[in-house]
Amino acid sequence: MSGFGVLLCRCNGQMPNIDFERIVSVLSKDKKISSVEIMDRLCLDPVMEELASQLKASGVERLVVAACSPLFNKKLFIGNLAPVFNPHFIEIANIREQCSWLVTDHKEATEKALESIKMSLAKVRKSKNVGNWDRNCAFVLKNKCDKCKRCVTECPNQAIVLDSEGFPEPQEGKCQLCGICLGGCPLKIISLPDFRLEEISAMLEQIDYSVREPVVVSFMCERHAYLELDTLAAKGYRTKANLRTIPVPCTGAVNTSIINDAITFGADGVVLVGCNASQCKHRQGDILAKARLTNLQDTLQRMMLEPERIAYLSLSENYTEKCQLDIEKCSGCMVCSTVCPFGAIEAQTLEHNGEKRLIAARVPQACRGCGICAGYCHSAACWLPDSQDQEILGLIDRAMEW
Amino acid sequence: MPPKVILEKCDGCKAEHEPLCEQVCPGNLMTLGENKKAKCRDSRDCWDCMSCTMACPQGAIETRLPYQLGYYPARLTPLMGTNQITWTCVDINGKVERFVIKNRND
Repeated sequence: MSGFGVLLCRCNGQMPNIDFERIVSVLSKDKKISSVEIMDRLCLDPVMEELASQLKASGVERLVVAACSPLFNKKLFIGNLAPVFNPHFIEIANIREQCSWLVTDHKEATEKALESIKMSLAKVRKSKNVGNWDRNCAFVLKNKCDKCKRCVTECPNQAIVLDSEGFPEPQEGKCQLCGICLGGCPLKIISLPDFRLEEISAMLEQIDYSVREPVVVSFMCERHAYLELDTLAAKGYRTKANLRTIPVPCTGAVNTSIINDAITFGADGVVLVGCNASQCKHRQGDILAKARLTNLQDTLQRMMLEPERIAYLSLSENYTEKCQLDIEKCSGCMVCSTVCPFGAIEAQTLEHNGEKRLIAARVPQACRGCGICAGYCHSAACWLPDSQDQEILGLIDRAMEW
Repeated sequence: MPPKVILEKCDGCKAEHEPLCEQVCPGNLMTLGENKKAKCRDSRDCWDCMSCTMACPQGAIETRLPYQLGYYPARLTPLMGTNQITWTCVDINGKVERFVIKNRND
């Protein structure tokens, strides 16, 4: 195994609180890493072309790119580097949204970024073709399978059928790579092309659990909770530095053995962050995850560990708050109802001590949270909880920091 | 001592023909009972290997320690990781000890 390369992108100066020199110096000391480089604005075409030709010549076989969120750029890298690089050997470390933006303190953000890069290195180190890189679907290791058929029953797309010997066979067309089969398999023998239990376990080992603050490991579903956390980070939300996030295809893909690994290695808490009930794209990912967590909590209690250490949290995506009305302040002028583009305001008569008063009541089902009514209201009677002055001023402050 | 099945957690391995505890028991003692949940056929023949406890995907089996080792309040619980098991031993006085054993699954 040779040729691990790390590329650091400083974006366009959007990560001022990360000490890149320190990251380069720490990683250069690791003998297994053959090249550590800073290349700015990697997403631009000419830089990407230069990178492709450089990689071809350098002998780097496994690459970690530390840049913005993989939800933005992973396809870009894989597409551009595909002629010269095996896409399974590229891993993106999210040091922009999850480290630089979520954590304010310079030292803590740099440490979190460093750990993030080490986790991605561990993942790409363990990346291996167990037999499914030519087929884009889940893979069952048949020689260890005991035909319990839990994967067959739990698959939300019924994509697993039994072959002639009775072993489960995932179908390429139907498999959505959600990983729910992986999460439920008691023998841990199912893997996805880019998601294997050994890789995630190796990532968990890289985390430094000995810091004084409690370390919380979170598994976030890629398309929903992880995206929402990125969006919140862009809006100015801040967290403490002790949260370590691992993106997973669906919270249903988290096998209890991985949660147990996290606890064994020293994590103080493990949270599965996914969709709200009935919003899961894979229909039953969250239900299965919650059921598995409930069982595990009971086991933890028998083991004299607090069951509150593991939890399921839902982070719903793109949920805009509806417009709220202060009935006392509303004068009933109904200007808002004339400007509302969605017809979400209707006149209502309020009776109070025999007096009748007109107010502009909001219809929450129609309201899209655009805020035009709040802009027009003379009485300051309505507001959007999401976009208060505080939030907007906070965004401006953060932009001024750069 | 017989393995005790926690009925709220056991799902009978989806009532497939052989639940995991039945497949793994070396003495052929675990089976699917009438309520479609696991049960131990003959508790006196159990020799406490704890294979069923380790194999159960829901963690629904608890082995009682024999009285020479610890008797009822004492517990030995495995937490199954990918390539290690964390054993928690609670003795009869309530003292807790944990040890991690690697099982070289890779």
